[in-house]
Amino acid sequence: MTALEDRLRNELRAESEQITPDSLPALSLPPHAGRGGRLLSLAYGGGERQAARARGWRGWLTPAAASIVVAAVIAGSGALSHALFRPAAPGGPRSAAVGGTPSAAAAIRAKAVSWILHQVSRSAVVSCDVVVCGDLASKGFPVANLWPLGPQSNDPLNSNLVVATAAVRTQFGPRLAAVYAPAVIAAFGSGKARIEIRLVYPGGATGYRAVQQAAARARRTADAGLLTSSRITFSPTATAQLRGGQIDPRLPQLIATMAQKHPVQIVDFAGQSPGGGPASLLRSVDLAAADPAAHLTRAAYLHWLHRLVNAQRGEYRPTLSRVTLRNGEHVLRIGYLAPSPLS
Amino acid sequence: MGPGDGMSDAGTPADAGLGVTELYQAHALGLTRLAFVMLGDRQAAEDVVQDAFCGLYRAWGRLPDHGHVLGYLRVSVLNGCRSAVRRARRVPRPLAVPAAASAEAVVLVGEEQRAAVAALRRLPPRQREALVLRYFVDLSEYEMALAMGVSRGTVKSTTARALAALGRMLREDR
Repeated sequence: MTALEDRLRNELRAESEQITPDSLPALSLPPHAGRGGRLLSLAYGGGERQAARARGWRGWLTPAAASIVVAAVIAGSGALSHALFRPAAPGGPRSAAVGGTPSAAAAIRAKAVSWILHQVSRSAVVSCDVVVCGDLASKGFPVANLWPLGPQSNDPLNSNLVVATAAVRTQFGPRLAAVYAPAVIAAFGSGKARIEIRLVYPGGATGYRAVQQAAARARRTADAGLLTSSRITFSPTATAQLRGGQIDPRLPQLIATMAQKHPVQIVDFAGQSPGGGPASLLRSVDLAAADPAAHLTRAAYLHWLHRLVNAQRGEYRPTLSRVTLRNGEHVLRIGYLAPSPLS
Repeated sequence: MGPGDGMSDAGTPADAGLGVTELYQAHALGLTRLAFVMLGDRQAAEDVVQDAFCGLYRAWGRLPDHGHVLGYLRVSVLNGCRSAVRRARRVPRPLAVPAAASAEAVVLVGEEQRAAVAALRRLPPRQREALVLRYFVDLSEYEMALAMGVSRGTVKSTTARALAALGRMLREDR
């Protein structure tokens, strides 16, 4: 055996040992379909499902159950679409659920769905009405992490985000903002067709406000520490953003780690959360494509960054891309997915 | 081996449930590790393995030979990994990621030490599969051919090409 084969064998073994026997989830089997039989109900009992959620905020949807959910979502989306967007009866009032034209509402929904697909972590559990859940499922968002809301559903506290459409607002009323999901991290459209992406916080609005203020103070303190580093260069905009405590706390942690190895030049922090409130932190940073002080070629600098980013795990693993700004400057953009931790 | 080898034909749902549960207890760890080294994503790996066992449960009554269930499961897991990789490509974003450790220097050290695994994950799926089956699962060429659904000659050439590419990547990364 060559040294490379030996090394590969050892590394694979070491890598695989991250999966330990006690960390394996329990097996959840679907109802037996038999030969050509039909599946009649969701696959798992409440106990297993709750246990699975407790393990990682995600349910074990087996393929059979997943297909049922998707089918239900798609069927439901048609029904709800029909209910929400049906043309007004002659002389009668228009559907009270959604204002504006169906095509305008659909366009707003498409924007919200697109934002979720590009900006929300796939490990986040998203509560949504059947229409939005159907759209998300059909576009590749993990079905297991979708929590369809409707007359028969529970509250959305099991999820991380709620897509607050007219149907969801009607279902939960003022409790949505006061009890379940107090903060808006992105919003699309206006009026009854407005769709908000809200952050679920189990303590409700009061608890969230108290924690948010403390978290903002903690962020400002931590970010001020970053500003004192001699190995990090900031643009005036970035300096102001850091002093305001507007940055996703994962970014300063990563930047501090980077600066330990090579100097870093920050062009700007950016957020991709239209209409978001204070809970919508800036989740990406633009770095100069190469820092002369790092004494690395552009390619080597990029390679180093790539390896560093890939070494991160879980919600701390960002995306890395090369972007050309409007002024023609080429930057490296490191971005995290929503939702941001508070501190 | 474990359950599944020489297991009697079982037609009822209860028998299927019992049989699949025994198999899960015996092989879930190894199969999840296999999916994890293929995908690098714990949650996706667990999903793939869960899907494979659910598939086995549904197909239990139709299986011609319960003595080769482990091979069936391994092929299901590999197919699931291929699907997961394809899905990840369609949507240019990371797969669902494990809720685990944070951005710490310790992790960087770990990553440095597993450069070969990192390079392996940049190989084309077939080559990655060949190396994982050969050097992690320790399958023979014949077993690899069965698992990958190709000929032994293809297994040999794919493995050789993958090793060469891996060596090149590691030299370039230095």
